Amino acid sequence: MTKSVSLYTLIFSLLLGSCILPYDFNPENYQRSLVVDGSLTNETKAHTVRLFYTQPIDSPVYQPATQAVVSITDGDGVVTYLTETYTGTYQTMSDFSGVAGQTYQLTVETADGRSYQTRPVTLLLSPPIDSLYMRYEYLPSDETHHNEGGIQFFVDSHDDTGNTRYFRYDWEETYRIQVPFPSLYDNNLVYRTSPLGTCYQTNVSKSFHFATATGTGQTRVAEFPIHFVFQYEQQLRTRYSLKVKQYAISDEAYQYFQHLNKNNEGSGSLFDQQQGAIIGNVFSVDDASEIVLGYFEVAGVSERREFYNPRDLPPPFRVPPYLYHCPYNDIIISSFDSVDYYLNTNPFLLVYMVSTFTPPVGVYLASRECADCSWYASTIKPDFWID
Amino acid sequence: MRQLLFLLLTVCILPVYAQSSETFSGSFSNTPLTVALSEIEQSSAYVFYYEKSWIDSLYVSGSFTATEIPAVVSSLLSGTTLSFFEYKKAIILTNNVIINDKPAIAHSFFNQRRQATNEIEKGMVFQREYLSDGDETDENSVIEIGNRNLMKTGGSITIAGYIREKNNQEPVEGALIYIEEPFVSAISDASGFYSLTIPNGRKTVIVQFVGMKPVMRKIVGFSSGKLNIDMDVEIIALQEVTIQADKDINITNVQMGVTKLNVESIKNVPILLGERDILKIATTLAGVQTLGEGASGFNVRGGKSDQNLFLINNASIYNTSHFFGFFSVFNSDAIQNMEMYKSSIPASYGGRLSSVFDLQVKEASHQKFGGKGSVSPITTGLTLEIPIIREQTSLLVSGRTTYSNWVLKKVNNASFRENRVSFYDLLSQLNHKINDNNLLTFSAYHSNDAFRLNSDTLFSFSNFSYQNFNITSRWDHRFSDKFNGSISAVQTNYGYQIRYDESAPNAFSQNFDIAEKSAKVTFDYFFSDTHKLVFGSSLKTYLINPGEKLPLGEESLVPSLIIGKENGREAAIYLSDQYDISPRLSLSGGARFVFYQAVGERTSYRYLEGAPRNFYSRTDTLYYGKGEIIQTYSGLEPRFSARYTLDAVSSVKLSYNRNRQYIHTLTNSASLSPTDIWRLSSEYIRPQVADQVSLGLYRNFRGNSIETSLEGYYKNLQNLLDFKVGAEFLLNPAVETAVLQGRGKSYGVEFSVKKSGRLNGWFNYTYARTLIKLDGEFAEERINNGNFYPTSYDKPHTLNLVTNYKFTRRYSFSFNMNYYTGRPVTIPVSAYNVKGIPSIHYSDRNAFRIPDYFRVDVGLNIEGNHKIKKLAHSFWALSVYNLTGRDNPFSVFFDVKNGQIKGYQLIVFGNAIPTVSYNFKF
Repeated sequence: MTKSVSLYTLIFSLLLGSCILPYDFNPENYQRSLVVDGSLTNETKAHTVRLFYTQPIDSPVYQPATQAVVSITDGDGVVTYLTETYTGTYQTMSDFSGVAGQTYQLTVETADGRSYQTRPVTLLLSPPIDSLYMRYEYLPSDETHHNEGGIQFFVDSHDDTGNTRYFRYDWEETYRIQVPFPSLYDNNLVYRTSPLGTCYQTNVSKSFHFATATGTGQTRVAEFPIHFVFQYEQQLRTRYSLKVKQYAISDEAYQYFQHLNKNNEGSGSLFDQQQGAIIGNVFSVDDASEIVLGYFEVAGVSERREFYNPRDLPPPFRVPPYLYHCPYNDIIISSFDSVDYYLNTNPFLLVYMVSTFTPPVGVYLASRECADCSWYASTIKPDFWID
Repeated sequence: MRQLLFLLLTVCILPVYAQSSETFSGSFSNTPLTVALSEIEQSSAYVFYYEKSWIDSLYVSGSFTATEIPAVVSSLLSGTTLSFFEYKKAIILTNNVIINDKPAIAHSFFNQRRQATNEIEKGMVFQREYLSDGDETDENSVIEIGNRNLMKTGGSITIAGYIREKNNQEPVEGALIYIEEPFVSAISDASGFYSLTIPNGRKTVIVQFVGMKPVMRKIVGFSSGKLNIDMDVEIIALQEVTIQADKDINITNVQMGVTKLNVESIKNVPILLGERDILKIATTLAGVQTLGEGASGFNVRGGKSDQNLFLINNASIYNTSHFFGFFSVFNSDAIQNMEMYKSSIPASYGGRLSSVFDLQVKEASHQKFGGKGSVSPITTGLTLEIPIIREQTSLLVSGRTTYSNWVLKKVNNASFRENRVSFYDLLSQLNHKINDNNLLTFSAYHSNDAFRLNSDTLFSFSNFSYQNFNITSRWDHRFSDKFNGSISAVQTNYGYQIRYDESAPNAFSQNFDIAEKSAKVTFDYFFSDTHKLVFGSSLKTYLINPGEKLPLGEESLVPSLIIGKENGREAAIYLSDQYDISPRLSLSGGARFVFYQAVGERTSYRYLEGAPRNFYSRTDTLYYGKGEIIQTYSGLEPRFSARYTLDAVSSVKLSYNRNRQYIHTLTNSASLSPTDIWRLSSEYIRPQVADQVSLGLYRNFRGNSIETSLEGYYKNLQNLLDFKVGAEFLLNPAVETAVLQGRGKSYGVEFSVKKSGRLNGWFNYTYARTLIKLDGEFAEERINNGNFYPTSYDKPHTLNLVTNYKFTRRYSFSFNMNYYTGRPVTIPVSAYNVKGIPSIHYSDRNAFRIPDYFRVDVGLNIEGNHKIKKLAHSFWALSVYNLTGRDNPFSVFFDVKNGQIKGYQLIVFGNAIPTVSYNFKF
């Protein structure tokens, strides 16, 4: 979401009616470089390191680096080998976890015999997230090109030890979708055991979020704006859950992600930073000048999840209308004889409900947009979901 | 001439019969002149002609024995206002008019090139005998200079004086003072002073200046002396103006790469957003480039935008733009002129590699209250000239502000109503003339920009402001006609502030400041008008606060972060000598010696030898006490230029220059940005050094109305600054870990044509390259494999056309065209994902270019009526910027969407922008 529009671009656009047009360029010299994208945390799970090569701009095809030997060596010299579970994806056993205070070093030997390594990185403990809360704010919207209201979520955190100064965050939002006229019966007018009208949709963050903790002795992160949901969007209609993960990262990792982030977010202003190759913490053992991209992140993790109902949200929040326009008048009330005819001629109609006694008696038919969400979201309630 | 005719027509001619005797003997004692004359007539062949009323009341005395008649007459007439003219045996008496034996018309038009010695003598007689109280403003009168007794046959004399405007006695700067045979010329300086060394004897001194009537003075020079000349303003409205001043200065000046822009001369250039801006005009000159609309700063001959020295009354200006580069911080109405040096920078200037832009504030009239103003949709400005003590003290006050907030609200009222943009600038200058030899000047300047901007993330700053401030004082003193000097003291401040208060716990203020204090003494010594010496010295101190971030409000949790202040001092001595070896060959040589020290108090980090300088290789922290010397740099900066005149209209010039720069902007963007920080040379950042050699060929055509020039240059640059990928300078306590320094080279050819007349303007084409090489020991210090690569402001081809056509005295039309090659950018070479985030991999820096830039502007100036008596003179300027509405990309950038890398271009002015402005003068 936070495709950065710089201050500068903003002035241009608001004052002078400047515009941004597509620009066709000729990707000339494709450069094939190894990318290492891995992480090791203190969570107990299968930790993953992906090895692949950069993609040419005109043919974005994933090029995994298969049959490499990948291992993690800890500060005590214990070597843990990762197995290739999928082409280019190397994982530890699922009961593996990093330990805070321990150092870890990644070693990679690719199929073509080249060796790569990281410096030993210390795993920092991530303090718990103190609170995850929200406020009504206004931000410019890419869709309407106006300032729009919405809910801004914030994170507060602190570390009594003062050891961690840099945090990376990511979020995962899950929201319930409730269609206006949920299809309670199937086409044979049999009552559905699992109604189609309630679904769950999950999105994950698509950009990097970093915070610098401040203070001496005790370090704090206060009012860190983690995520913004516009009021006109669907997420906050019925029930919403946000999970935030906090990674305690090293100074070097912080620098790397910052650079990568800025490098990706050109805004066209002359104040954009100089773009170039962003080198992480993986180096070629054989050839110091070889460009190796990506990062092996070693971090302690803590997380927090919150649930919100529309009534919990502060004014002037108002529940947005459903994604599709579903006036009650559009419901077709068919006689029991004609149902088959309707359903056969229009495959996008579903049975909303059946009224046998209360007039108007008949089978209530609604369009798929208004009766079913399973075609665009999952009807399975996630394990963590609390109603 | 007119008086002579008048005389011939009105003199009452009384024919008197005369005898043939050549001499006269006799005596008069209080005899009426009529009686005396008739007595002489009777005793000689002479006949007298006169107007009776002139001599009615005159009585004469004297005794003569066999005295020649003319001598008798002159003796009799001495002490009266009468003169006489002898023609054969006729003597014509004139009243308060001298008659040359050749009419004045003959002097000016037939241009008597060879005046015989006896003619000179005769002229002197006339002068002495008949013009003892001559009217010095009369073009036909002959003015005596010096003491006749000191006259040496065939010797030279020096005449000196002030050129002033007749009505208000303002000095006229830049007037050309010359005699035609032999051709000797001089230019008046800022106080109107000039000095001219000429052969003695009878000469005609001619003074020319734009907007003034040319003045002719007939002089008879006996010995060195004073000649003040007043010039009348030319009533431009009634006659087409022919600008003649300095008409061949491009040929004869020994300096090259110098351009002088007069504010008046830019009146007809089409303008953007209603502002007539002298710095914008400068960008249409050969060798000066900008990065596009809205980019602050200039690139002069392949120089970076921080390599230009902007001076206003000798005080440097660190940020020359309002509103991110759309306006310059100088209100052109308050500026007299601007000189731009891009090669052969005089030794009295130093501290920047590429150029010097020296702006002179207008001196307010000592005579008459007046003002100038302009109104456009975005800005309004007013400049007042206030005489305080007549002939002595005057004050100039100038102010300008914007009211663009209404535009902001209009353009997008729903979404951006919280935005505020404001700027203003104020300038005042007080001139006090103690006497002809002592002049005091005080000035103060302040500019301010403030923005309140709404942006997309809560972490973006929302209040931003920056200020330029300076005060100057100067004392000009003239020791003699040949020797003058000035002493000045200047204080300059620049700073910016960022305030963020959207989230109370994160509210902060951040700032940057630079304070510069300097004192300068400079002397000019004129051995003769072919030999001039300039010398002096200057002392400068810098104090830089590279940044402070402080919590704002009680709830703020933001920690204070203060980057240690930097101190530096710079001392310079300089000397330059300009000598015209022969009329054809002129040389100018000089040198500047600069001594720079970075001093405490501050800390300095030490890094591991043999490792790239970064966070990990830091080994130690040293503390330097107040005034303790951290690092010293010094060096000689030779400056040399030569001119050889091929013929009257063409010359060839050569120059060599070395410049050093001790203060640098740290920016990772191509243009100057308002959040740039300036840092001093230190133990890690070495001074930048530039050596420039240039060669130029100049030729004028059609009576100097067409000037052409072809200049080539090559610059070798040392320690040019560039930056590591992802370098961060704001609040970075160790900028040396982000900076890279390397060799650079710039070279190019500039061709330009300038025409005056009814169709006037200029055209120029520049081919320019500028390359840099960063080949450090370590991978992170090497860019593009250590090969030369184009800098982000390298634009090989530039074409500028500025034209103006005067249809009538009231209507003039102008047309501008501008083309340049797109600037280099770094483009993606491949894509990859990290933690699910699509990322772009860029490779060689600046390997690609954005599309070329092309723009056409038109403008129409409508002058008010030309009645002499009216409230105010005014003109309307209508203009259309980017007439063709071409989408000129300002920049290109890249983004990843659905795994696909997309390119975008940012267009600043995608359509034609019409503007109307109203300008007035009273």
